[in-house]
Amino acid sequence: MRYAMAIDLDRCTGCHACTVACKVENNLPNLIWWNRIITVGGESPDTPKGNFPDLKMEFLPINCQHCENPPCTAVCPVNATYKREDGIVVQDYDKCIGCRLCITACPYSGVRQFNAKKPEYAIEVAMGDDGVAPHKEKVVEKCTFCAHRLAKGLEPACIRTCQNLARFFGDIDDPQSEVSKAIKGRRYVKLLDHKGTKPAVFYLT
Amino acid sequence: MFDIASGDYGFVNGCLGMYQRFANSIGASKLNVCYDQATGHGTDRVIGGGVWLWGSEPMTLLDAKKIIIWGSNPVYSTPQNWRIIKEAQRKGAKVIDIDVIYSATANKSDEFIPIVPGSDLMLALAMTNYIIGHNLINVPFMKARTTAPFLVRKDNGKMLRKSDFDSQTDPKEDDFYVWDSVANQPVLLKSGPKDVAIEGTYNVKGLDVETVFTLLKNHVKQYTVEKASELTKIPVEKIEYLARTYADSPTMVYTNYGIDHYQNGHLWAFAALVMASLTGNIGVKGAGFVGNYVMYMPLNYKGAFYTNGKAATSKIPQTIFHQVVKDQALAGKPYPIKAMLTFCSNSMSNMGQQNVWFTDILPNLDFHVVIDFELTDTARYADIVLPAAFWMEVDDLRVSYNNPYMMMQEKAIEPLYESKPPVEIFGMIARKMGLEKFFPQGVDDTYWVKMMLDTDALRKMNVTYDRLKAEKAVRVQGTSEKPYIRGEKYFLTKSAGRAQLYAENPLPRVNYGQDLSQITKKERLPYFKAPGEAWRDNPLFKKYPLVYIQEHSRYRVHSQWFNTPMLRELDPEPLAKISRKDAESRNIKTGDIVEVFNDRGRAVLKAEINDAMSPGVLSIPKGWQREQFIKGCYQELTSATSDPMAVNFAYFDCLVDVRKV
Ligand code: SF4
Repeated sequence: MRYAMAIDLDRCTGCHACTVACKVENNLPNLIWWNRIITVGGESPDTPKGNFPDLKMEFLPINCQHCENPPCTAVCPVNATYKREDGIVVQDYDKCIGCRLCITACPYSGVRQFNAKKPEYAIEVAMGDDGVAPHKEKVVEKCTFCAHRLAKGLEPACIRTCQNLARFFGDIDDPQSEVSKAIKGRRYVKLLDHKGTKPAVFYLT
Repeated sequence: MFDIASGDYGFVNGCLGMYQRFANSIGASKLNVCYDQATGHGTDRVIGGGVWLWGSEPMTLLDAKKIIIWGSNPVYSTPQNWRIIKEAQRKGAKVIDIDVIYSATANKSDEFIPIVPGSDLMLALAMTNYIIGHNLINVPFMKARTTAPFLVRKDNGKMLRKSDFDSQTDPKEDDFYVWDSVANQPVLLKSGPKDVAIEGTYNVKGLDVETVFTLLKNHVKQYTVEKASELTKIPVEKIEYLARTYADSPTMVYTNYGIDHYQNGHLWAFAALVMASLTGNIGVKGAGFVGNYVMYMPLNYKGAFYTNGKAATSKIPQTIFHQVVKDQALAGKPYPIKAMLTFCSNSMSNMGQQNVWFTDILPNLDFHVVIDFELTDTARYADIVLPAAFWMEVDDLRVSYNNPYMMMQEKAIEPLYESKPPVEIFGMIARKMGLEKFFPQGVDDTYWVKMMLDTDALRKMNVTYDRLKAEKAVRVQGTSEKPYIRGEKYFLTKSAGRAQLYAENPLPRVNYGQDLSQITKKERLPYFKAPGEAWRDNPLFKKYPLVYIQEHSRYRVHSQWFNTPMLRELDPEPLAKISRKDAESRNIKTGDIVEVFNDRGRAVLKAEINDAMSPGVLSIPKGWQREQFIKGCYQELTSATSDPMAVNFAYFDCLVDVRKV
């Protein structure tokens, strides 16, 4: 049993529905995003590269890759981040001392984020699920594959929210899971595969 | 004056709801909305149905062999439809995108064809000419479903009818003449001729006539592919390829309101639907127009809204509103307007030529009330702002664009703070005005929902309160196996339900006394009219060489959500998107503060070099509010000048220049 995610880049339009769903579900503080959309193209978001009209652009959603060989867990001096048996790389805010070695070790810039100050929120009521661990000052946080939802038999919040049906999730060891079915027969890439991290996120091309 | 737009489509608490009961009870006037009207004004000429009933259900895209996305960016503006286009593409449909910028939709399409802003009309006319000239027309379709075989009198341009020879004809029994090509004589359509001529010039009892198709064919000959190539900057071969591709049905056109935003927008829609009718690309499986699918629902409008038997009038279009308020007169006659109520509308931000609010509208109104749930520009300048409860704080009933469901909207929470459901706000005001009988005390949203549903027509459709309560959403048109195709059985025209290739009596969308004498005859057929301002032949082009568009943003619906904190983290501030060429020639870099300006106004904001912009085009995505600019606003630059037939804001028909500040 290993959780995995697949993202169909042909279908993804960079709409950010998944990033907002993540932010709401996990009550993320201002400026914290566990899931982001990178534009592969021009210098600014949502811009293409090339000479008009011969242009190219692609959207790349990035969250924690929940690697099989996570470089982050190896460097954490206090075991605040570790891998569960089901493949999820977790982050324990109570143990985290905010040294940020994991951020340095992680090759996927930006998926681990640091709460430098007391978390602030745009509105006064908390959003999302009350099973989410409260955010804390001076600790690192990141995508949990919505472990609190998985515990209730639900998929991560970003999956169903994707209006373009570009995101899939499930047990990669089960050929009948949605993620296994989505990958079947498709070409895919894994980000920075050459680093030997063995990410659990498949990008279908 | 009631100033209402489309901020919420609720049948109780929104712009389709009980404000009308209130407005009619007090005998108010209502502004005529001039947003997004040109496309439908053009389609109405051909297939009827008024301004809104032109699109098929989006699921019909799945049956198309080809989809031409024309002047639209569904990835941003109608993502719920884009995913269906994507699915059609996966099933093998070819997706071609025609646009002035390389949008996220262009990026996902199989082919992107850039075009000069405002020249789409010429492209459609030249494609039509090519299709006719190369015999790519669908003759059986034209004979059966269009007015191609109808006869037009050369003396007065009217269709030849039974009543032309028999003055006793009951108007309801009147019929059209066609030429029976087997018997070689004129016959009435209802007589059921075996075959009809679509071409030819004839004499019927002394009257010279020709078929509608002959008239159209001769008229469009002037629109050559070469001429179109010169104006659109699309190579000749590409236009020919587009025409052939389109004619090879079924082909779907996906469009919305991009081309609508030029002063020739309705003529493009007119031309595009004529082209569709010639090729059998309308009213059939896999072909037609998709982009805005609207359903008419037989709700209890009469019982709920017409408390005194009358409806609030809609004589004054938004485009001339500033003039009417300033003069306190319409067409030379006194028309005092002293108080205004704005609801479901951020008119100050969405109407063209924003500065007229400061010079003409606000100084001449004694009292302005805004009911809204966002503190919009319009609200900021009002005398009183009444906080409306949000959609999720009220019960309501709604149908939305682009899906075939009637929906029960149930509140998730009670209204927060001082906000109230709009129907309650209107009720409170009405009761103070002695109108308790129309707005009784102590009723809730459900009372009004039930009132709206109280019609035999709905009961016949099995759309009832109890069913909506149980199922939440009820499909009211088409089925999932057979999604709704607009005009599959007949079109909503007075020409025997046929698609009209010729508009015998073109009328303006709204008549406020404008001069139409020069154009009425011309408008019978689609013809080329250059954009009013944004065109290279305009002398102003030398002074202001950039065409200014305000593309639909990913993160807003017009101005709605301008202040949503989470979205502002993703898209923090207005940007002037400039092509690399135009930026370099003005020494502008990404991040520079620039002023976009013309004679009407300005916007000072950050610049972004954006290679999606075609050189000569500058875009500021719409919907930002004044406080979000360093100075000015994106809407100061646009114009209130409209085409006299479509009477529609032509936002993109606008020239500007930009400089570093
Ligand atoms: S919701 Fe889906 S389409 Fe939108 S950005 Fe996320 S993955 Fe892409």
